[in-house]
Amino acid sequence: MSGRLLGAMLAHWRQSRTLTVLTVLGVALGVGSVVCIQLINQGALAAFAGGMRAVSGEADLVVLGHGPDLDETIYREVLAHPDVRAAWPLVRAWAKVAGREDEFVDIVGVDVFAPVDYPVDVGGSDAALGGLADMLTDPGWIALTPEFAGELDLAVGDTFTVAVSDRLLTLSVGALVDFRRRAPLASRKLALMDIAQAQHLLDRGGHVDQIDVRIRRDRDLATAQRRLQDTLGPGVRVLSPEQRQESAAGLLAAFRLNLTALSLISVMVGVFLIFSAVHASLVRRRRQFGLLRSLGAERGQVLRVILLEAALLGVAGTLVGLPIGYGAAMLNVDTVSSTLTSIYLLDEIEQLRFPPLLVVVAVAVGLGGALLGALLPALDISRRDPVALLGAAGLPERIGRMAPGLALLGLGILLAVGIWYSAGGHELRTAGFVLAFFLMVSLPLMTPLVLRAVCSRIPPRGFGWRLGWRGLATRLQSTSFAVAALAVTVSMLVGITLLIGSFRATLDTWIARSLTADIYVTGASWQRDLGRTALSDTVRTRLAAHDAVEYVDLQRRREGRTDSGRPVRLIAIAREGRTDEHWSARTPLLAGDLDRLAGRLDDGAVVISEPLARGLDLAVGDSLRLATPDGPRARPIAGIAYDYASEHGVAYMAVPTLESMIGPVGVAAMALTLEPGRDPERVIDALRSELAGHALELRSNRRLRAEVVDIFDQTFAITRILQFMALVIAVCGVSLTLLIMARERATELALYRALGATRRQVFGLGLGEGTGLGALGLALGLGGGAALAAILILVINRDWFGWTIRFALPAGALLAQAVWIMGGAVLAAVYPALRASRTPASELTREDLL
Amino acid sequence: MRLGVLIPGCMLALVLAIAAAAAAQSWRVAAPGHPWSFPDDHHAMPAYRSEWWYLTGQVGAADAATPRFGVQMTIFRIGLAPVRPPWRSDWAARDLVMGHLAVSDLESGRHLFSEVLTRAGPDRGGFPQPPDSVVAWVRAPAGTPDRWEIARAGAGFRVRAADAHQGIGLDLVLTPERPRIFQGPGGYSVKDPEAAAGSLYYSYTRLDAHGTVIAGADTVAVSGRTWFDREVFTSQLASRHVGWDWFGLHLDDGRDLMAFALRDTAGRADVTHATLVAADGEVEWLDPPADFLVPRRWWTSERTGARYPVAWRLTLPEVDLALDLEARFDDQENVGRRSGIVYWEGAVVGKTDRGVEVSGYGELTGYGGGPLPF
Repeated sequence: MSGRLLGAMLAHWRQSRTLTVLTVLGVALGVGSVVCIQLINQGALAAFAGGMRAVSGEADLVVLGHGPDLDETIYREVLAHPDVRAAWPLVRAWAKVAGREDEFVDIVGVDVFAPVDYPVDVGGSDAALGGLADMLTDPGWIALTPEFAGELDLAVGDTFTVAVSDRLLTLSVGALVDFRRRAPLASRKLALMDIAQAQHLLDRGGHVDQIDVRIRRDRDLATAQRRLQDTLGPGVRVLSPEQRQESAAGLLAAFRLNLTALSLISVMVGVFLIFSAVHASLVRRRRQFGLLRSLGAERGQVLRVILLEAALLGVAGTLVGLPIGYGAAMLNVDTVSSTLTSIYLLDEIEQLRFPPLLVVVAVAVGLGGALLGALLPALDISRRDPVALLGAAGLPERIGRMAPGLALLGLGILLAVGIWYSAGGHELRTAGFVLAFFLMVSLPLMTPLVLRAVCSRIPPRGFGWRLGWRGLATRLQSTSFAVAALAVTVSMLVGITLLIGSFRATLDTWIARSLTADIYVTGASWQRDLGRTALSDTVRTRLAAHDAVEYVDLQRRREGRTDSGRPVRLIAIAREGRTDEHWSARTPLLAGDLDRLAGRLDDGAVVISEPLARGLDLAVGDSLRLATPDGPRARPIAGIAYDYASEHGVAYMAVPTLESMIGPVGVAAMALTLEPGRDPERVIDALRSELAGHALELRSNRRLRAEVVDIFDQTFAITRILQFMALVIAVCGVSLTLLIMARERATELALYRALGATRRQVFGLGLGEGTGLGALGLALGLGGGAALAAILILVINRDWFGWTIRFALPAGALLAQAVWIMGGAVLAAVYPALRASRTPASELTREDLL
Repeated sequence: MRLGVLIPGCMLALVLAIAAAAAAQSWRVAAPGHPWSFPDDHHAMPAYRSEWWYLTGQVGAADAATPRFGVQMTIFRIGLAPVRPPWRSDWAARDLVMGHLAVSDLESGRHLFSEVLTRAGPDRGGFPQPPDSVVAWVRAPAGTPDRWEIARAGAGFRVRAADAHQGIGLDLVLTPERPRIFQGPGGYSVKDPEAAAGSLYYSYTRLDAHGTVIAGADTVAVSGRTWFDREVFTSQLASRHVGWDWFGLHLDDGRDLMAFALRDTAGRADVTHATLVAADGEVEWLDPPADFLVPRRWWTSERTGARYPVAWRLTLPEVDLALDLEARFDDQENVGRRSGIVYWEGAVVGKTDRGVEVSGYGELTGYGGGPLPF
């Protein structure tokens, strides 16, 4: 019996293609989003892991400094340790390929006599083996990956120019090195060089970036790690590859969490689509079900068959969603990569790999989502008795009676969560997400009551859209779901828009106050190495002495860590020639005595950024404990500054303070303030030609601001998906709901037609219903969105990132979104309204008239 | 389509490459007429491409009947470039330093070998010049503190080396029992008469050693008779030579004998030479026939598959000397994991036809592993 039942069901689905497509689409949307986000999440770290495996694959442990490098003398100590079987050093640096936009080489300086193999391709002929000896003596010898060499159009024997900071270097391709053979996800930009040459070219004499270690086979790894760390002391870190991976993952934690939250939202949206489509289909077929039930099919059988249908559609949707997700990931890779490299200093994603586990997850999401969406309508239909199903009248409404109760429940939930939060829930880092979730849960609960309250108050004047609006209140079963879903999606959209708008406004204000120089000067490789290699002295003196320049601010910086392992950027800015001028004393402060700040900085205090202060719960007067090569060092905190450049934290200090902790540091960047009346762009041109032999990046104030804003926009680019989703909901949800309603009210509409209503009037009715759904969803969404924005800005942001964001209303953006959504709703109403207007009077049957 | 070739775990290929490159560079070639000046000439001669300082001998407890240990310690210098590359880095080096240490426990028949290979540099290895008493040094292998070192000590030397992982080590003070000898006229040893290839070669054939040997958990006070070789050259082997057999032997009647045979690709001795030091110190350079060294028994290494002779009959009709030699035990093979060099270096004993006891060391190269970088 079930088999035939199933066959009959499937035949129906083949007939009503739109609904089938929509259901499959709903599943595909959910599955696609999850797949896309997970691919990106995993890809974000896979490149890092691949790079590690390619370069340090044979290492059991790695010795790293707290900053970017280590003193070479540590190597001697590592080698002497009894647990060590072998150890070898590496020098790492980024160099910009000259003449190419945004192309970098990741140089690895190795000791070719170290007990580790590198997959260098020498072409297989003895004569070519001679090339390996050149590695040590040929100036600029470098081995590129075959992929990168191809991209740069270079063959073995060619030379090319790169920039390290402001220095131009000529490199010569000596061989090809195929890192992908060892780790398929390794970046193609990795390149090998002799360690001596690397130190020479990068000006890193006496320092290495890491020391890879192999432990004796008969020693326990964890114990050996601890003993090695104890021997080497607190000035370095000894990590296993897994720990390094975790530390990189930690950097991305907030970023990835938000992406995952986004994917879960789309699953919810998908489930709603399925719900609507299944509901619509079941309503259409209620007579069929009535017939089956009266023929003897049991409730359970009907339920099972409906769910089986949904499951099959779920599988179909998953199959569609997988390639969609992959495609979406591919499209977004570049954007996410820029965020990864410019903000998190990790490798860009070059390839996306599809792990088998993800397929399992996708299927679970697809099937689960389909079943979840179909569950309520299936239960509803299967529970009704055959008479109700077969009857001409529409199915009785239950929601109407429940509306006040539901609304009360919604309010109750909000109240309960509010109490929980203030009572102690705010201690939890995920409290913000809890608040947001329950807000989104309470919104649909309150929708039926609001819908009924608003719509039943519309005075019915004439036959048209007003009647349509009133009609919304009488069919709460269908309409409240559509409005609720739209409200939830619009809430999220509005919330995020308000967040982005506020953030952007706050950022603009901050930029205006902190970027005050006319020209900013860095080396060409700044984007990746962030000034780790200093600007050359010639550049520095010539810029300072230039007649167009009034004064110069010099920035010295180093990546560092607190002694609890949290990354901190250490920055010291001083005015050339004036050691008493402290830039830090001029920044917008959140806390701290501005007047006495300069003096305190001279005494060795630091100013920390707001995210760092919040993240570590530090206030003015506390100490910041930093990990240095000499062990932990504490510095008193004299002030807390607003800083939107990084979520991880910055500590500003005087130059002597910085150098006392990490040794002499060269100038990484310069900010030039010009004599009054000078045009920055002209001066930039002049400087470029005067310093033509140097690889410099000269940015005017305007350009730098634009770049900062660009990076900001890129980071939030992926949330634009929400706008697309809101529109999808608007269109599909409204459309489906109206179709359902038209179905259910076929007799009612036929009655109107019989009574003389024109097609246009019925069309107007349908259109009115559509605009009503859209408008109410929008209105509820605006309210919910404002509340969500408050949670995002005040709770989630504070807990995860630590910035102060001032509320701003991006009226333009909100208006544009409102127009899009209303437009979508109206458009979505057109087809159902047309269908409804075509209902012939003959739909009336004799039974109806009785 | 390029064929991928991994840089081999042995950097032998690299050394070969360096050899190829070096051929084009201006290293000084060993020639007769070197103006010797000691003790300065104990130190490195950087103008030449390669050189080694080579200690072998059998030592044991003072009151033991037979020596318990055979020891070998060598430091090699292999030139990478005639001039140090001008990089501002401590890693820029003109030389490779290689150290070999082997201890054979002659009682248990166990042979342990350790190799260190690194480019020269502060903290890594080097060849100080006078007045520094250290002649050559290289940092100990990973896991072992300190370094391996050969230094001048009075008229003799002090040699120390250890490998904590392998559990071997030695620290010996060597005092010459007889003066240094040249292994050829003017200290020039001919290796290929046609190509004028040879080396500067001198030896301390008989040194009294005192000190300690580490074997496993034991540190044993030892003394014994050792042999110290020094060779300096640029290219020693003709292309037709695959390796050599060398012996440094002490005869109980007070004589010392050095003999070597360079073998060609067919395994036949091609260039031969021997030096006999009489009991009164008189040095005689001999020209043995090609068949002066006849293998009697062979041993195949399970480790590398190489097949070495481990017993010989050595006859020198020139000086009416004939003796039978045998390895103290068979497996004294050295396998250099980083260099790829595989050779046999072990303690040998024997007896002349007249009943004089003979003991010393034998070295067999070119029987397995890749070609030699010399």
